[in-house]
Amino acid sequence: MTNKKILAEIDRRNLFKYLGNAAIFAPFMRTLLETQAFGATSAKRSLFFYYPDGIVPAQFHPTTFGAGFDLKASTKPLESVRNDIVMITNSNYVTMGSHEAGAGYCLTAVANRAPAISIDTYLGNKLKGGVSLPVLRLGVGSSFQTGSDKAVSFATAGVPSSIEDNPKRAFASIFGAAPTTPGNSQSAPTSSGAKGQKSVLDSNIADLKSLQNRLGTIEKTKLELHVESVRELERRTQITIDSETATPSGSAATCNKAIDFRGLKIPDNETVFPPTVLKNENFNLVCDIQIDIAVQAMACGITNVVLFQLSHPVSPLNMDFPGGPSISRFHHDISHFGSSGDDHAKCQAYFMGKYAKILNSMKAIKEGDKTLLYNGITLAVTEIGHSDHHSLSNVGIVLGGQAGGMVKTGRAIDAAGASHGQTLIAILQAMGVQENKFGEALGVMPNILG
Amino acid sequence: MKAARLRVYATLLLSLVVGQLQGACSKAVSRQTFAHHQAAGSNSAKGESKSPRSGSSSKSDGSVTPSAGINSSALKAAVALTNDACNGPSSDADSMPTLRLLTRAEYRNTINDLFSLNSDYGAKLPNENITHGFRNNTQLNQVTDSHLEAFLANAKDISSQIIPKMNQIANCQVSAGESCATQFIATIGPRIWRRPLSTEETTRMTNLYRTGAAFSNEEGMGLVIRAFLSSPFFVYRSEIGKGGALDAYELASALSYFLWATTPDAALLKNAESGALLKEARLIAEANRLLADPRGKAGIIAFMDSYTGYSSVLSVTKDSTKFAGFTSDLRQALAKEAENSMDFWIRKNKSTFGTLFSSDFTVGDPILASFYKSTARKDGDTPILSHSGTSRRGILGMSSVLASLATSTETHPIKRGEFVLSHLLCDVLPAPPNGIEFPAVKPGLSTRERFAAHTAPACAACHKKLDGAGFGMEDYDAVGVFRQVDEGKPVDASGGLFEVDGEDRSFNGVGELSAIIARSQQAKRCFAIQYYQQAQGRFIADRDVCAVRTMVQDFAEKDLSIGELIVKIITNPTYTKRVQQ
Repeated sequence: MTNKKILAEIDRRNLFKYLGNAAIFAPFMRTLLETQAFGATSAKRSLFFYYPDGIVPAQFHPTTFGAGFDLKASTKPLESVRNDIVMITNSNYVTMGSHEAGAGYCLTAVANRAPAISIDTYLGNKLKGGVSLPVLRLGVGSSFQTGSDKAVSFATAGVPSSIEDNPKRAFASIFGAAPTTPGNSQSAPTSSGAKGQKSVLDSNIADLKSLQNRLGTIEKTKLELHVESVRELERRTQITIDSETATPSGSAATCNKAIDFRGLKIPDNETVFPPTVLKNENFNLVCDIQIDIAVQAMACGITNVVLFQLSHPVSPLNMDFPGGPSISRFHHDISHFGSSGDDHAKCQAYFMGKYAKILNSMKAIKEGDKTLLYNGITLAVTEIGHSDHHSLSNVGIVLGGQAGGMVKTGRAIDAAGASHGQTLIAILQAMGVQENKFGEALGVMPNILG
Repeated sequence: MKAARLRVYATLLLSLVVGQLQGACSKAVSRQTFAHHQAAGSNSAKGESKSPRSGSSSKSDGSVTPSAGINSSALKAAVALTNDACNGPSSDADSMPTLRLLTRAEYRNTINDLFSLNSDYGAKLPNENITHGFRNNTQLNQVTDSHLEAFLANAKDISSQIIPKMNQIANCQVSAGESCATQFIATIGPRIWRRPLSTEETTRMTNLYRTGAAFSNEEGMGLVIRAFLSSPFFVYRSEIGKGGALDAYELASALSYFLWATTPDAALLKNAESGALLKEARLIAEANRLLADPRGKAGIIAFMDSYTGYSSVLSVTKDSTKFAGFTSDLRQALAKEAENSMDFWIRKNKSTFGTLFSSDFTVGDPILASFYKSTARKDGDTPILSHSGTSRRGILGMSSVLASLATSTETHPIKRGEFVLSHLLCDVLPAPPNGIEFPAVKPGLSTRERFAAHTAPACAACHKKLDGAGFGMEDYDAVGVFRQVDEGKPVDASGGLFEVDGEDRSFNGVGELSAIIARSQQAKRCFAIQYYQQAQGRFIADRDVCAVRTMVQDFAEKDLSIGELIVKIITNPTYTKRVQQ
């Protein structure tokens, strides 16, 4: 498709209707400029998908490997994307413990919950050039009833990341304005804009510097993280300032900022607990909205790294919500399945269905003659293997996407007891980060990179 | 029923045999978390830490940081009063200097108090990282970009709310220009930062005003407000110290956030300004003033949630068919019951520890009377629920606490046992080992029978304690309603506490357990330490053990009131003194 044709397809009014604030112009334009200059090259994107409470191994892992692999009860929903995934059997979390240790390990490759950063944070820092968010972290009930000991993502060593469970807030922070219904657009807030924000951040930095000078080694790491956070906000603000002086000329044709909230009304100030987004009955609805936001944020060049967390370890989710597997029990209870794992397999099939939905949505985003899924890599993880045994071996891992041709998909592989950390290293390499070590893991998982 | 009871004793015996095994088990997993049983998460455990300077760690770059994790050896020594190194009462102790991030509740209250607003800006901040029930851990809660983004967005929103009513706040109109900004910076600035501003800071704020005023006066004032409210001087409270002790302003904040969960009021700041607060008599007088003030309830509630996790009742999943009556309104009323009862006992009745577990009444909405099968009455304006004639007593009788320690359909004896041991008796058990095999669920078994079945030999030593405490609570169901039948079988609520106050105790049901806790020296000492940890925003460290010894011992042995304990905490040297760098 020629540039002229792309531009002709853009409905400028539609495009800007949802841009309450200009924060996303620059990356947006960069995508376009790159497309104009180099054809269909797009940045690589990665998404880490967490689902809770392990698996029923016999109903998850294939018994036939290679291209003709078989899908079981829990993985059946992946049929529609079987050519875009790699099923990984027999990889292990190299740690002692239970749910907490597995949660700590699955994205860090560090045992026993020793302080470490997770791969989303690591990659986000590596790949933040030109995007407004290093990592977008979205959840569905991820903060519902949990403590810091069950976190899977770490913003800095030992400090769990913040994950946004509220799609309305996520939308506002990513796309810059409250979601609007078509034909009812909102105008930008009046202010001194990004320059005012920058002077506030300058003031923050001055305060932090004076504290650091006074405190020396006291609370050094805490203040360093704080300074880093201010720098990150400054970086985002600068992107906005740059964009205010540029003239936007178009967009990638498949980037869409109109997210369908599917009739879900989320009040701004809720005093009753649980709030709308954490209500059990809204789980499926919120999940679908968050998926749209995650995929569009990648399509629009807002971020290159997404963490997507469904519930949390030892999940208190009642699986009777509309759109779910219609099992009226607490998810973690179901996961201690005893002699018959059918119900737990059904629950995990529901989560795999959501993973498939993400992959299909990424596939629907055209980037030149390829797709977002082709340019991306995704990983589905859960914190334990056999859920009834609290096993940390043969965990339920699926890889999706081709990372721009780096990954040969449509296969199931037997990792033969290798560390799951090696899969994380494979992802780093697929994303163009030439590391042979991550966390406590060494070497790349064989048979993933093509 | 008999079989189940036998099993408990069998496990007991077994535990003697596998004593060695337990050692191996706990050694191997000593750095693990314990909380695999704790789904309904108010009370999550964190890994243990045993740094040599325990309570802090010195990194290779020379930076000094208090450690985030629980220190079981310090906890054990403090509760057991068995540290040979302590020779008599110690007044020679201090804490690591710390910056403490405001909790969401503290942030909300602070904003509302500063600007006479009635909003929940705290709800827009990221969730706290909770450890062992505590939301205020100073090392787990740090400023990430998500926090900063929320601080900035809130500050912007708040500035737009208060600029139109600047007359009320700083006694000037924003339209007056720089003079109003100068006034705001000079009078409200120190309230926001809880200390006077330096000349350099005042100049910087004035310059910031001018940057914005190039657009409009409102814009200038807006930038000033935003800079104040997103500043580290606002979002952290400083407990750094000067010359080895908290300065008067730091002390004012420490007192106010501990007792009120909000910013110091004008009177407290005045005491800081004059330096009077540094005198112990004035500090104690101010503590008593704050405790008597209605705002004192907020501090009690914050502790109550760390100690019992009652607020989980608002969210814990319950099967809507089995517990159709457990509605959102009921949950709200139960949460209020926990808050109001605790406040009533501690502040109004000036109770001692025993009351918290032996009281035969709670303060609760009459709508709870039919749920609890108790009697509603009034004590003046206070709605009272009388539980006399039932076995329901104090905290362990509260449905908000019991329902949070259960699954959606049934009780969770392990969670309940863990709560009693770890939260009420400070007996923190090591994490469970890997790859536990859970036996299949057989239909028709009572909860007790189901759980008793998965006490594998390697785990028996810990489960003896967990099961002993948890099984003894089987007479209250998954939402905290008294029951005599479970799955068609008579409830067996026989239980035991092991090595508590140096002896093994058997009991039957939550009522008898409550009576034991109410009188237990260990539970009293544990309570004092829990309150201390709340005040400090960190777990007790080795260096604290001797310093808190007299306080802990006096609280338990002299049966001090909880109000007296609070005063002892704030005058403890580890609370007021800081290590000098």
